[in-house]
Amino acid sequence: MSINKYSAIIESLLYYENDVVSIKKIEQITGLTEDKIKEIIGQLMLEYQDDIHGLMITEIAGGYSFQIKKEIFPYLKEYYNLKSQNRLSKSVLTVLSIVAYKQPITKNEIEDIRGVNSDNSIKKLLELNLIKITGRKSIVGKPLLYGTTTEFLKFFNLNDIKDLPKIDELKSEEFSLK
Amino acid sequence: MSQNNDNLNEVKYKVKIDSFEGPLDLLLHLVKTSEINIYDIPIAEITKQYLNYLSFLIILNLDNLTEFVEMATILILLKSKAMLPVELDFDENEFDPRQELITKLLEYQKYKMAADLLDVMSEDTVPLINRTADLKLFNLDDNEDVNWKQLSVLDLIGAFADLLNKNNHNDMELEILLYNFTVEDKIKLINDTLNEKDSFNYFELIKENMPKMEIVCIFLALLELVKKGIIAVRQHKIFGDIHIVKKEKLGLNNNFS
Repeated sequence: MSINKYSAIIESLLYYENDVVSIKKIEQITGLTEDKIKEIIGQLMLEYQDDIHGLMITEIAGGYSFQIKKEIFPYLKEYYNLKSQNRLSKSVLTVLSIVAYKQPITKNEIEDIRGVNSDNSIKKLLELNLIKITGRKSIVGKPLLYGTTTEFLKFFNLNDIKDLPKIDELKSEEFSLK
Repeated sequence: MSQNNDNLNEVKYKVKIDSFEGPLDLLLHLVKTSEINIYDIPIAEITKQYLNYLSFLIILNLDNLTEFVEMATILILLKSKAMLPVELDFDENEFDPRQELITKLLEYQKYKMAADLLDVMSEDTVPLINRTADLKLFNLDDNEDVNWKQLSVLDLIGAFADLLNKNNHNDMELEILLYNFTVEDKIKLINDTLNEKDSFNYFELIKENMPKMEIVCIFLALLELVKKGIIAVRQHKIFGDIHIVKKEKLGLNNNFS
């Protein structure tokens, strides 16, 4: 089969799945190697970059997905009553950032950093499926450990948890007077 | 100061205080607004300001007041330590009692900044939009795997509730009914059925006009067998029927939960 045909198959696959498609799945269906798939998708991505397309292919949560281009989104938003992502409250975001950077982490450890009870924020994040219980810490009381989910990656448009901005780059050592 | 003025002050504070997440947040705010070096916090000054805020917090009676009070005690402890005459200590790496607090503040600030960053990122992200209508075509062959999904306990309870509602048996009769069925019986029934055929559907077990208690028993039997790992269940995506399979049949290929 020609490369073009494979490219067409992968494109229709992304369309049909209507969600993030893992490389593994594409491998299964096309029988191509990971490198080859990445090469083909890279080519597809380039083509979709063209202004005549309203869609683009993004690498997200360890796979690929069609996504409406940012500059096109506002045109559809009003008509279809699409919501932008729910904005999270300040306290929920702080808890989420602690979990994201220090996972796996227990509730106690989170509260130690924040100095405040965090039950509600954790509950909210579990409800939103942005964090999940990943296990139990083997210390006295076997407290639950929390970590981020695939949904978290989708929410922040990340491909991998390692793609989070490096926290040290935030100049944590310096105390800003802003 | 007039009464009027006092009230004004209170309102002003209220707005500010609402935006504090906790004692660390407040402390961080105090350090920043007084433009002092965090590595050399003038404990006396900060404690004074903190206690000032605290008195307003007490008036407001916030839920997490205890946490604010706890921090106040830490500050007062630090302040009292600072007031004690300095002992001559030849150890050069003398431990600064403020160190722990400073470390905590820095750590907290780090995640606060990270949170702001996440906020910007989420605002910047176009949500992945799933097309509302499921374009996937159903294959109506019941043996087709795509039509079945794995089950959670909640799904089981949902299917169970459906059945209860479907069977409009008159509940009044239950009062005088002699129960000639038990959960154990139903477990045996399911096991026997499984010996005849490898798999069958939950709906087959339920007969019309079955008393509610009996349906409950069958359901409990089902849960018991799932718990013991003897059977595995999965549910039809459209019709909600529950497919019951002997676990040994599955072998290692654990497609069903």
